Amino acid sequence: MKSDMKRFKKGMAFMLILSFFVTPLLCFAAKDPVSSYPEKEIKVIVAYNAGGSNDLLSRKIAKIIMENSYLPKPVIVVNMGGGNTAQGINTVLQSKADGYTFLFHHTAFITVNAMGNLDVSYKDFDPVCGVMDMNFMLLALGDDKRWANAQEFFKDAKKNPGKYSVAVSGLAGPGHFALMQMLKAYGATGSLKEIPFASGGETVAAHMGKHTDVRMSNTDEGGRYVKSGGVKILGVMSNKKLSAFPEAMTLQDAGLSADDFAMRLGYFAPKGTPKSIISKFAETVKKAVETEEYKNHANSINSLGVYRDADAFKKIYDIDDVNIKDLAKTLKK
Amino acid sequence: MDIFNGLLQGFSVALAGINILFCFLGALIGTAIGVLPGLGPAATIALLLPLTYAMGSPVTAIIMLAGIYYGAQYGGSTTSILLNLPGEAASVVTCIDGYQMARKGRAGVALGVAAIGSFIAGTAAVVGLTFFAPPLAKFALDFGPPEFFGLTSLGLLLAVTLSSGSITKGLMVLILGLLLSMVGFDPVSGKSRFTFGTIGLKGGLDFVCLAVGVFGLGEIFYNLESSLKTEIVTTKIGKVFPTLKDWADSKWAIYRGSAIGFFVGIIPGGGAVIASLASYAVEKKISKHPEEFGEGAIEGVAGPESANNSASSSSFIPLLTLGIPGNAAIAMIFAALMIHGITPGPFLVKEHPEVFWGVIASMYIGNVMLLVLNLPLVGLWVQMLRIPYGILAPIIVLFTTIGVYSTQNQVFDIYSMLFFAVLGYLMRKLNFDPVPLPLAFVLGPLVERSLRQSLLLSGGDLTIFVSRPISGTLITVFVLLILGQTAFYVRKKMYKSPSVSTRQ
Amino acid sequence: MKKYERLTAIIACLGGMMTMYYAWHTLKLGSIRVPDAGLLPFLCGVGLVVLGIVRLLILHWMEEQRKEGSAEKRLWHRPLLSLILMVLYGWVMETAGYITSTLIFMVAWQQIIEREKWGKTVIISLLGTFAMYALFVYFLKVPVPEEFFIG
Repeated sequence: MKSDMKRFKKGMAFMLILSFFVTPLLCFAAKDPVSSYPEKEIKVIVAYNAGGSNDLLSRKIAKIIMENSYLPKPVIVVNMGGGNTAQGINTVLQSKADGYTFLFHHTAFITVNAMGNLDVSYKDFDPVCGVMDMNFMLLALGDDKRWANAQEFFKDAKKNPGKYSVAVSGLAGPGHFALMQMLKAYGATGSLKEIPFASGGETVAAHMGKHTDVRMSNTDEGGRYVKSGGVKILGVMSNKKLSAFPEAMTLQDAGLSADDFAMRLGYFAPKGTPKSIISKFAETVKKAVETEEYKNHANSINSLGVYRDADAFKKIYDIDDVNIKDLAKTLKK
Repeated sequence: MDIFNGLLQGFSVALAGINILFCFLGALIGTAIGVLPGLGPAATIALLLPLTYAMGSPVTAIIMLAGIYYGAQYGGSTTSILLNLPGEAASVVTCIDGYQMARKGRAGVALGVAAIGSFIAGTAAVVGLTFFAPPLAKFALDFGPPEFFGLTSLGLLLAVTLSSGSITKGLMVLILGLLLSMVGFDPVSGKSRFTFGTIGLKGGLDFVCLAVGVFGLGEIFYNLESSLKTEIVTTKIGKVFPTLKDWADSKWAIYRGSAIGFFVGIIPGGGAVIASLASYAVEKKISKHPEEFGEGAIEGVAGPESANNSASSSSFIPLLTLGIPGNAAIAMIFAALMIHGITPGPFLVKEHPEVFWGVIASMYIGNVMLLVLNLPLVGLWVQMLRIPYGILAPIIVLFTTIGVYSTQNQVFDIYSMLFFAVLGYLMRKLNFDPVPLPLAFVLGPLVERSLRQSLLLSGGDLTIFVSRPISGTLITVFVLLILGQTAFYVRKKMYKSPSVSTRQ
Repeated sequence: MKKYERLTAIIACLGGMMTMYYAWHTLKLGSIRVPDAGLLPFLCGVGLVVLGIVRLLILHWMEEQRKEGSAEKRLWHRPLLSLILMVLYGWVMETAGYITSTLIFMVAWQQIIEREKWGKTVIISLLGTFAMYALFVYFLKVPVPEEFFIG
């Protein structure tokens, strides 16, 4: 018995002395997390189920980063489509601010929050960078001879309020807000019957079947029908000319000025993520955005890759936030 | 002839070695997906989208994805028949008689008839697709909100009339299904409903959780109550393959189902579900022995299975000719085409004829492959029924749990599945037929959306529903059906009234 | 049996009324011109109330059914136990990881519900867990919660 006790005590003493020497060594061995970033794979969370156009964009960027080995560790995209974007967003909100989890999202962040359907706001995150702006356009059927452009259309709509109907995908989604912003710019608020549909595909079907007069689409969806014929652009909700459709009437062409509106896609990080890690990731994304492959992809969805660093990204979101909250008031009667 | 030229070109593409390989691969994966409860064709295709990046040729990618899509239909009927577990909404109707047939030892016959019927229907649909695609697509476009309302309301009515048991109970289940479908975000008003502050409910309830919970797990709970160590099939398993007599009984159901499915499937939206419902209703009405329906009538399997398969083939029509995806899985295939820089639409035939005809030709081949794949497997599946329930039941739980989790990566889905399991169990105990529940759940949002869209379009004018030809016809059929059912019911009551009044 | 039927009908009535209230108050009905979120839920609530009342009336007038055959005893504690197991399974999965929770679940099921011998339990549980992992995680690459002792 006694000898056991003795052995035990000896063992403990040994451990104690050992740890005295080992611990400082471990401290030196532990690498500085910032300079060694990334040490493991990075997760990008998309708040939608797989297959949507912004999901595809995030995957494209991840692919470009990995193909060119901009980072030593893989970038993985994970879909979390539950809770109407709430699940993905909350998951990132609650994850460690160590730069290994990012959120890839777009202006729906503001719109869903403005409508009271989301408790979290983009302000609860640290913006990382923006990668693309997707614009919206008002479309009419190709053989519709009633209006040549948006100016004529809105003039007609103002004269006959409630006569014309516009199909829009997702009430209170970015597309709808784009429409409302456009109506506001042209001074035609409330003159159209706004018919919401559950998806872009449905708006297309309804419009092509002549059940509505016009429709509001983003440049990805709408653009492909413009290219394949059958649909013409009445006007785009933008101040500058769209690179993909330079002949389309912009707000400036119509002699109006208003804040630009577009769906702005980009990355967000949990609050408190070290600034140097954020800028490292942002730099990587910037490299990806500047590649030929990314430009081609952007072209194929008729959008422009627009890189914004964290500050610029936050700034534009703040502007959008004010505009959207303003418009949301009219919707939330 | 232009069409034959195209077909020949298509076949030469489809028969290329690599395309046949991927067609087979797609069919195999699709069947597996269909059999496994939880993973649906839409989710699987979405998961495999990144893979298509790597594939050089878009035709190959689309052929594989298309194979997965209709392969899943074949597989979905397997679990419906064997385990009363519908893989997706279109397979719910198959459960009604299919499962009963399995319990009577006729699982092999049911599976065989389903496979053969699906083959005939799928092939017929592809033939129809080949020749009639453009005019049919135009027809599909004529369906606007009022027409959708008429169509889906009709679907709801059929769902109630098909349920066994009293009409009042059926209606209660239907309304419950409607209410459940309203949980979550409402795109027409922008509000969230019935969410009670939880994140999980904000996204709405998932169909897979409902189907798997009410039908699969609910059944397991109910069976657990009995202390006997049971297997699903208690009687001796008879002939594994359908006989000539079975063929004679079911062939007309198959033909009718194919036709119904083909036309209804073109309409984007509820296509395959309504097709299977309509086919079941028609078979029951026409049958010389309607009392067999619900107990294992072979027509009750042959008809709806053929209908949902031809519907899944004809749902390619709006995609290939107009570029409009008709449902979630087709939308994924649409995304795949976009990845490869191909824009599906009216000009697809002119710009990329090899894609258009290649996919169509591969559908012919795919249907053959699926038949060849599935028939021998029938024997294997039937053996599965012999596994002691004590092992089979927890395995089913494992499958359904991970299947349900895989769709959105949230554990909430598992809990909602359990909620539905309890619901299904209680319904069984209280003699409520669960069939209208998933059907109302799926059709509910369509009914509501189209109603509100129609009212918005017309500015509150209700005559919009009857003033347009198609919706007017549908509403008339709806009203006629209600009148017919009520008359039938009243007459039945009158016959029985002497025995009821004696109690007073 | 009739007692439960009555109860169900009453629950339907009450549920319908609560739905009507919720739809009216919280969701707002809107108008025929511009229907709002609460319109259809309200109608459903009305339907439930009506049906509940109708059922109660039918039950009142119907002849007493002969008692359900109590030949076979229904052991309702078994489904309840399996429900508890499944809830725990879901809960443990997030924290402990897929493989661990599946193993525990299988073992628990075999032991508690089926009262299998330990030997068979272990074999079935291991094989089952392995098969699920191989099929879903390895082949299909379905993302599952990681084991708690990893990462």
